[in-house]
Amino acid sequence: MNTSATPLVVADGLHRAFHVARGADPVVAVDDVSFTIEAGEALGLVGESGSGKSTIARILAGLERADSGSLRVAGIDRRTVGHGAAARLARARQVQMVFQDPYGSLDRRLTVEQTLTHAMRLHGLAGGRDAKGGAAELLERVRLSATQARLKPYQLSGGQRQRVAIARALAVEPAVLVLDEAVSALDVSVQAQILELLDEIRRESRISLLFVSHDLAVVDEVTDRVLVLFGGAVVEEGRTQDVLRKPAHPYTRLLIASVPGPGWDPHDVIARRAAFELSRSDAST
Amino acid sequence: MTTNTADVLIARKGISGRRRDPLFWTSVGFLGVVVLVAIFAPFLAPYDPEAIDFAAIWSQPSAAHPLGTDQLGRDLLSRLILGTRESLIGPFLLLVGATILGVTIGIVAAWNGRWIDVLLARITDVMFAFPGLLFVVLVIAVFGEGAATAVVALALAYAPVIAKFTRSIALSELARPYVDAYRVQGVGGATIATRYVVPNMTPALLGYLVVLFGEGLMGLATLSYLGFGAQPPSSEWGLMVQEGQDGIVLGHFGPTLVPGIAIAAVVVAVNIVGVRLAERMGARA
Ligand SMILES: Nc1ncnc2c1ncn2[C@@H]1O[C@H](COP(=O)(O)OP(=O)(O)OP(=O)(O)O)[C@@H](O)[C@H]1O
Ligand SMILES: [Mg+2]
Repeated sequence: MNTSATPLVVADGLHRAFHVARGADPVVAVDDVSFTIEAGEALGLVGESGSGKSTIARILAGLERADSGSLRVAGIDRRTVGHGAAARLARARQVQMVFQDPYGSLDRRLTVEQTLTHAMRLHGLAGGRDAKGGAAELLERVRLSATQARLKPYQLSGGQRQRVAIARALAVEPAVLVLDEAVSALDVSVQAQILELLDEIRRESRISLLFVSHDLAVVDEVTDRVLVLFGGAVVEEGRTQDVLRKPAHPYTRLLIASVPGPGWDPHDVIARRAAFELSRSDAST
Repeated sequence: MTTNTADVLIARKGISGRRRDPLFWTSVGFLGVVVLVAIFAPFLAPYDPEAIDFAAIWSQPSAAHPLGTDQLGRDLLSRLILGTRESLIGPFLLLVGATILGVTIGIVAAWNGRWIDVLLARITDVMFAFPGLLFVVLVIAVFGEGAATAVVALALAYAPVIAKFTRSIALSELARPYVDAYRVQGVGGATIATRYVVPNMTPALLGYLVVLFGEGLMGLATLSYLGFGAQPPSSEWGLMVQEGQDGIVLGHFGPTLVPGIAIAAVVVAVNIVGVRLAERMGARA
């Protein structure tokens, strides 16, 4: 990989706090998080529930703002792009997102084909007559048939819906694809098919991935590098292989130990989690 | 006899199914006929509804006057038929106006909350605390009586109610991830609302609006009865009831009963259709 050029995505010191209730302390969801993603690279985000994974993903997708820090994609600051329609579309072509819930993330009123043609027409990527052909090509890429193009979301299985969601994201031809727990709602064999599909898409194009998952095995399979998040902050990062096989940070070790498997004991995990929390609060006081 | 939940569910499904809902379809058919009567009223009415005939005052139903005549000898059937127009167009216009206003306010309130939301909450609070009729009478006192003012006044009274209902549906609709997907795609807020969210809300709104049509019809009839709405010589049904009541003490019930039954029948049919629509749409969503 060319290390002298700046990476495609450069996030520097991202911070985000939510003011949940008046007078209460704000919840810090993202705490000074920095990372880069090279063109064609897949970065994983792991961490327990509430560690800020989705918030980071949504900041990158432009659905959530960062209180401070900077985020550049292809050298352009995501926040200074401006407000008009052209700026919105330009931002959209940088980053697209696939959501966790395949049932809710598609417009239930539109057919699969309409979902795709609307996206392509919006971005002027398929002028009028061509849009249907473009949709057919996209469907082929995600291995959906022409008959399925005429179906509505409720007529599709969860895995098929997620393929549509991926096709819709690809319709815009983004540089970065954010996947927030995109396979978590699917059963294992469907998961495998979608992961295979992602792998294929990456081989075909130099798309970058931000892959959010709590499933370490899946992250191991998909990503090149990984960030381990705890309480909104990065506690460890590195090549996925290294981090998952030779974890340096106690929290990462805890995460790995938490994965159910032979000899797995939930009580042990809970006890270690409590011990970790304690050691952290000792360290900070 | 054994009944289990499945049987009950099947039976229920039968009731709400397409063919086996005679009450719904009877109501739809009846309303269809009423609309046709309104459209072709001038051709259907045997007499000029405003033609006074002092020789036939308060005549009983006969071959010449199937529903009898009123205190001025005007043919009740003809007045009823022509009155269909004003009695239906009024609530229709009122509903269209109130819907456009209410749905817009409701969506904006749900979308960006803050002061619009607070303002809407206050207005609806006041509207609910304040007798609707009093508000309408106030508007009429300011702008003068007449059918048009009555429609505008009732539209203003209904708009906050529709806005509140729309807001509650819009809040749950906007929370669906497909809305985020459109944002990530670069679709503007106004476009998402009007092109995608409103059509998705229509099923939930439709039944409610149909029921409101019945209420509007009754509200306008009430205003006419009180002398604030349609003015003589109109044969608007509410006004007919009011004009006919002089005959009651003399034992002539026809002039009040005929329009009264018409109002009741249309309102009941509209309510049946509205409630069933709401149920069906709810079941489908
Ligand atoms: N819109 C919001 N309003 C208030 N608090 C929020 C909001 N979004 C996230 N948070 C808080 O920020 C923290 C991080 O949330 P986030 O959704 O990023 O976690 P996550 O790592 O994705 O968790 P999960 O694995 O359960 O999806 C949580 O404490 C959450 O309560
Ligand atoms: Mg999450």
